[in-house]
Amino acid sequence: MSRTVFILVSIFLVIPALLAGVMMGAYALGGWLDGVWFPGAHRLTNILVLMLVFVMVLASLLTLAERKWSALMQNRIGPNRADLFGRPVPAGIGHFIADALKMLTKEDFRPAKANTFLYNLGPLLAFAPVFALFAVVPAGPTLEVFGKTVDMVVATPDFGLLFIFAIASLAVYGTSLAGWSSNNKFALLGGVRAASQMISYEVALGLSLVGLMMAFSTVQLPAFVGEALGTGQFRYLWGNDAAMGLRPGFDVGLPAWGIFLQPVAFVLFFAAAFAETKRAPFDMPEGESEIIGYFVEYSGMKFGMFMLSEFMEIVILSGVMVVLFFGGYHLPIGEEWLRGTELMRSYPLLLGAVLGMVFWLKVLTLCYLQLVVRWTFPRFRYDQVQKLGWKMLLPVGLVNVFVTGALVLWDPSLRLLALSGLLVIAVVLALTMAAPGEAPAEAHGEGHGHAHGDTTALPPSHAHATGHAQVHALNAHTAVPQKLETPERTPVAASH
Amino acid sequence: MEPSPLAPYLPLAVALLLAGVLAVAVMLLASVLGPRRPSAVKSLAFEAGNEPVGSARQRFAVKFYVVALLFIVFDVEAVFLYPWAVNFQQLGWFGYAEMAVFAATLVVGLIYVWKKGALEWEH
Amino acid sequence: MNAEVVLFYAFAVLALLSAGMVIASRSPINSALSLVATFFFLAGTYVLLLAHTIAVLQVLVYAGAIMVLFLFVIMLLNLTETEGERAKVTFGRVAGALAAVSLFALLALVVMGVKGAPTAMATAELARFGTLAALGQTLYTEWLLPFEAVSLLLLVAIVGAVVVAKARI
Repeated sequence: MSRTVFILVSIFLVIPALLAGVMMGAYALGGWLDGVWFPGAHRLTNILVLMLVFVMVLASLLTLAERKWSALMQNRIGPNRADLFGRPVPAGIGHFIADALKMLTKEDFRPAKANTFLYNLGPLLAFAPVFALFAVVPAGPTLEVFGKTVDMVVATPDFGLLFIFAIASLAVYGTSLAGWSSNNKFALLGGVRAASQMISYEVALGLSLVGLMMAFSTVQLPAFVGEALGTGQFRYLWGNDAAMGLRPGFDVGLPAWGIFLQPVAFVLFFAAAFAETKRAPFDMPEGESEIIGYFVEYSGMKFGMFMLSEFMEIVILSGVMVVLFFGGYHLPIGEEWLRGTELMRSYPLLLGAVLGMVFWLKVLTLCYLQLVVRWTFPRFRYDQVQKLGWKMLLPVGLVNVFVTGALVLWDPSLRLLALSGLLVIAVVLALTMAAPGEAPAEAHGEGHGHAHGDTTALPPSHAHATGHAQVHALNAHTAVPQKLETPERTPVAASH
Repeated sequence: MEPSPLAPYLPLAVALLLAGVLAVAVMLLASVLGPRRPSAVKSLAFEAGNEPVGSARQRFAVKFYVVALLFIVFDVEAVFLYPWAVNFQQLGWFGYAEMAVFAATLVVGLIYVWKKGALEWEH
Repeated sequence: MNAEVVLFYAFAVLALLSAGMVIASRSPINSALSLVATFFFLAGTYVLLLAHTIAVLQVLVYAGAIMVLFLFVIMLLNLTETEGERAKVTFGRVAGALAAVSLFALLALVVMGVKGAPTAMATAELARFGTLAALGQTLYTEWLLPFEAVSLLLLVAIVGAVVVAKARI
């Protein structure tokens, strides 16, 4: 009971308040620095706040969240033993500090047959490009703070999205060099698989977003989000905002978000980007249970850099998806009203805090979605991965480009595109609802330990879901059978 | 003084530089803090507890090269799509037809590869 | 000397150094990585020339795609450091050397033919120069035929890739 209350309070009060507070601080810091140094200096504080504080801290916390969340899904408790100065820390947060310390102080090991230079270059090339990716993602609106114009983005180059594609494509070097230089057969296999998978999905990654570029006529991320009312995703397709001359007051409508315009592109992009992060179900390069992965010979912080870059990819992918498909820092409805209120107009910092919080809450939601996906689906086979990339995502991506193109030219107001998008969403929802009930066949879940190996012995209701059932049976074996009701906590320090 | 047209790229350069510096710094820190006690067994390649047999420098299936070559071709195609997409609404139906011809040629290539079985991974 | 000139020299020297490393280093993998670095510094030079789009495409296509293929080939064919055998003078090599020299001479002539500094551009013009939109505008109106011809070139590349590997797939 108290655990539920704790989780609810954190989700709905503590986390939003924290996000809003840090964002308000970021705007204030930027405005102050612009005043004392030169206009535009706030970009430096943006680097600090967005890339070092938000992305790095969120990524490190996600390492813990992933362990906690997988525990929850597998009916375990998860990490809860790292105490801070002998006092228990809620939600196992102590583990995230303990992990960092452990990785930093572990033996800096190097296999004898490895090529030293390339072996050290591997983690660098895996980490550095990913770290730089967030530079073009806008996390908040442009505001007047202390008389200075402050925006919440590190850089706004003309090539925007292409920067992400270009720099992300460099991450291939990290994995393939790591795999090759370790001089280990498993590592080499992992490295080759990783490189081949990453390049196969890079094509679909780029292709999936062309439709959005056509709809918004830009590749710059702030332009996708839309700074001024009526631009980018900051407008309604159907609604009562001022531009449409309808009733003033609280504005309601269907925002022109990418997800409504391009649901197919969203699925393509999400799948392709997920494959780029090399997480389950796309984790053949790491397949912990068989080949371990391209980083098998790495220990301590060098391994940590591979791991951290994977989690940074989650945060950055979420950020990019929020900007492209979920309206960036904009509220779905009522933002026009909010910006018009007396309070927000007199305290722009407050508006920055609210909209910045909106952005990061959306990012956290998508991070959560990625954790769910990672712990829900079993691993693909290698040929399935290649088939999905080349025979599904690539052709569908090409078709999407030309269908979108025709719809955009037909109706430049994008309403036709949105209608087709909504139709796709409706069809997908209907198909999902109408799917034959595989779930009921599994319903007698809890003590579902008996093996499903012999398909012929199964009753007909099981027969069609055999592949599924085997997976579940596997999980049932590995998971702890019943929930441990009493929270176990062994004191680490003697004083406890 | 007029702001240089290069000004928007300065923070990007700083971010890229920071990424490199941070990565090197973290690795240096770890190698300073961590101990180093190599031993003959420890520095063998870890192959699930078995003693490594032979070298790991092995040749790989030719498929991987085909995939890499196809990737380059379609990556270049995607690169041509970006400037087109940005100008799409001005180019209109003419631009649409232009790119349709371009893409159709490559779709022919994709179909060829498909039929030849270069995308098959199971034997 | 302003910051742009300093940056230009930094990028130029680094590009030359890493290009030298491509030839000088014994291990093919180090050569390939030096070439990646060269492309990066060239991209920096492009940005200084306000050719931002070319810069990012340079990284995307050359560093991110073509060099990956190079690395693939080097790693998976197991090319190791070999003492290069003494080069023999063959007809092909002489012809190649002549072609290289004449290409260089041609480039030198073209570069020397450029008179003085490029004409000054207005700020509005500068802001649009080298952008993705400007590039697309030119490419898809003035250079239509070369653009369509590229698709044929790519088709040939696809067919070539399959034919080369055909016996094995």
